[in-house]
Amino acid sequence: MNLFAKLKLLIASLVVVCLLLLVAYFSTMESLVKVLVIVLPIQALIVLSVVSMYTNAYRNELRKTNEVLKKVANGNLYHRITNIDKSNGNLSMICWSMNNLLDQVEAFSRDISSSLRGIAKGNMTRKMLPSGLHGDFVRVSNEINNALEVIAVAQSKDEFIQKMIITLNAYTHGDYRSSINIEGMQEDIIKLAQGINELGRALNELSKVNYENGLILKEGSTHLTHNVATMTQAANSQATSLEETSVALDEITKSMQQSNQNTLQMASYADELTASANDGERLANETTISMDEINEQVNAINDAITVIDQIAFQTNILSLNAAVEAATAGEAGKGFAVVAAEVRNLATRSAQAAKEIKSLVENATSKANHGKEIASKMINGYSTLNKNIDLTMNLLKDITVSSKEQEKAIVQINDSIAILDKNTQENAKIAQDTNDIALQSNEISLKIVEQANKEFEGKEEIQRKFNVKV
Amino acid sequence: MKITPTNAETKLGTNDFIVSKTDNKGKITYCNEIFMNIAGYEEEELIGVNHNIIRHPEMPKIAFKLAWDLIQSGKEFFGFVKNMKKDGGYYWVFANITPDYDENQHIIGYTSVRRKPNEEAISTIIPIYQKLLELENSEGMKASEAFLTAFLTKNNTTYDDLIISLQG
Repeated sequence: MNLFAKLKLLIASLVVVCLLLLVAYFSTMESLVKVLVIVLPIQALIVLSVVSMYTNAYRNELRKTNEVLKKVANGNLYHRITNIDKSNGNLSMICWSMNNLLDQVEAFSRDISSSLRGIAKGNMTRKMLPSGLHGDFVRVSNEINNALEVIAVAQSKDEFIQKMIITLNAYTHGDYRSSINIEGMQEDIIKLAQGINELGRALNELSKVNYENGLILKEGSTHLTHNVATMTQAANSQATSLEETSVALDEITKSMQQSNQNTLQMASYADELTASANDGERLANETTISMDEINEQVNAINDAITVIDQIAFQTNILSLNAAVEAATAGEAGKGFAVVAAEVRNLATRSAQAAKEIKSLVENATSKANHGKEIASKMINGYSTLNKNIDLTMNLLKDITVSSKEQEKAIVQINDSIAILDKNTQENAKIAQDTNDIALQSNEISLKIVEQANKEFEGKEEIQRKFNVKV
Repeated sequence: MKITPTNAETKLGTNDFIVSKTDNKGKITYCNEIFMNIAGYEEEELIGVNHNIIRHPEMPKIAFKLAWDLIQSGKEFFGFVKNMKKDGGYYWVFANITPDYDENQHIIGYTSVRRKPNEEAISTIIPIYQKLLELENSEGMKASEAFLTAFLTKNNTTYDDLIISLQG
C-alpha cells in the first residue's frame, strides 16, 4: 500500500467517524435525515480539500528534497533543504536528517580539502577536525590525522636534512657559524646533526686560530718591516757617522803628528838650551874663579902696597933722621939736607901713591866682589834654568810618550772603525735581507689572513683585538 | 528589536556541530537544527537575515574583518567567537568558515561550521578580545589591527597558528 492510499484510508475513516458521531448526536432528533443531507457533503468537501492541501504540501516537500538530492548527487555539496514544513513531522525529520548528513559530508570533505591544501604548502598544522563529526567521519578523520603525523615526521626529517645540507653548504663556503638545532629532531638523524655540529665547532675553532695566527703574523711582520727599515736607516746613519769619524781621526792623526814633530823640535831646542845654560854656568864659575884670582892678586898688591907704604914710612923716618944729621952737620950738611928733603918728598909721594893704589885696589876688590856676586847669581840662575829645562824636558818626554800612546790608540781606533765599518756594511746587508724576509712574511701573512678570513663565531672579537677594518 | 545581552551562557556539547550558510553578502541561506536550538531561533526567523543577528557586542570588529578578508580571498577562517542568543544569552564557539563555490569556481556564499571550543582557549582569548574592543572603542579598528599584528609578531606566530594551537 502506498502513502497516498494510506492517506485516503485515513480520510475515509475520519469521515466515517464523523458520521458516526453525528448519527450518535442526532439520533434522537427528528430532522436527522435533513441534517445528514446538508452536513455530509460539506464534511466531505472539507475533508477532501484538507487532504488535497496536505497532499500538495507533501509533494512540494518531496520535490524540494529531490531537487537538493539531485544537486548533491552531482557533487554540489553545499545545497540544503530549507524552509522545511514543520507540520509535516516525519518528512521534516527526513529533511533535517538529510541536511545533517550533508553537513557532515560537506564539513568532512572541506576538512580533507583544507588539510591537503595545507600539506601541499608544507603546512602540517591544518589537521582534520573530528570534533562534531560522527562515526565513520570521525574514524576516517583520525586516520587522516595519523597519516598527517607520519607525513609531518617525514617532512620534519626532510627539513632537518635540508638544514644539514644548508649548514654543510655554508661550511663549504667558509661560514662555520651556523649549527643545527636538534630540538625535536628524530633519533635516527640526531647523531648526524651532532656530527655536523661537532665539525662546525672544530672548523670554527680552527679558523679562529688560523685567523688569529695570521693576524699575529701580519702584525709581527709589519712590525718587523718597520723595525728593519729603522735598522737600515740606523746602519746607513752609522756608516755616515763612521766615515765622518774616520775623516776626523785622520785630521787628529795629522795634527798629532805635527804636534809630535813640534815636541821633538822643542826637545831639540831644550837640548841646545841646556848646552848653552851649561856653558853659561861654566863661564860663570870660571868668572868666579877669575874674580877670586883677581882678589888674590889684589891682596898681593895690597901686601906689596903695605910694604911700599912701610918703606915710604921708613924712608920718611930715614929722611927725617938725615935732615936732623944734616942740620947737625951744619953747612956741610946743607946739601945733604936738600937730599934728605927730596927723599922725604919722594917718601911722601910714595906713601901718597901707595894710598892712591890702595884706594884703587880696594875699588878693584869691590868691583871683583861685585862681579863674583853677579857670577854667583848667574850660576844660581843657570841652575834654576837647568832645573826648568829638565822639567820641560820631562814634560816633553811625557808628551812624547803620551803622543805615542795616543798614536797607538788612534791606530786602534782606526782598526775598530774599520771593523765597525765592515760590521755596519754587513748589518746593512743583513737588514736588507731581513727586510726581504719581512716583506715575504708580510705577504704570506696576508695570504694566511685572506685564506682564514672565513665566517666563524668570535671573528668580531679578534677583529676588534687586531683593529681590523671590515 | 534590540536584544539586551545577559550573562547566561550556553555551553556546546562535544558532538554539537553548528552549521550555517550565507550568501556573498552574509544573509543566512541555511542553518541547521543545533544552530536553531542553541541560538533560540526558528528557521524562518533566520533564513534571509544577516548572519550578524547572532553577533555579540563584546566581539571586536577586527575578528570579523579578518574573517571577511580571508574568506573573500578564498581562504578559510578559524576563530573563537562569542555569539548572542535570541534571549540575550551567549555561547562560545570555535568557528571555521569556508567559501562555497559554484561549478565555475566562483564564490557564491560561505559555510560556517562551529564546534565546541577549548575552555582554556576561551579564557586566553577573552582578555585579548577585551583589549581589541577597548582599542576599537577609543581609537578605531586600525588601532586594534595594529595591536593584533604586534601581538602576533611579539609571540612569533601567525593568527592561524595561534588559533589552531589554542584549540589543540
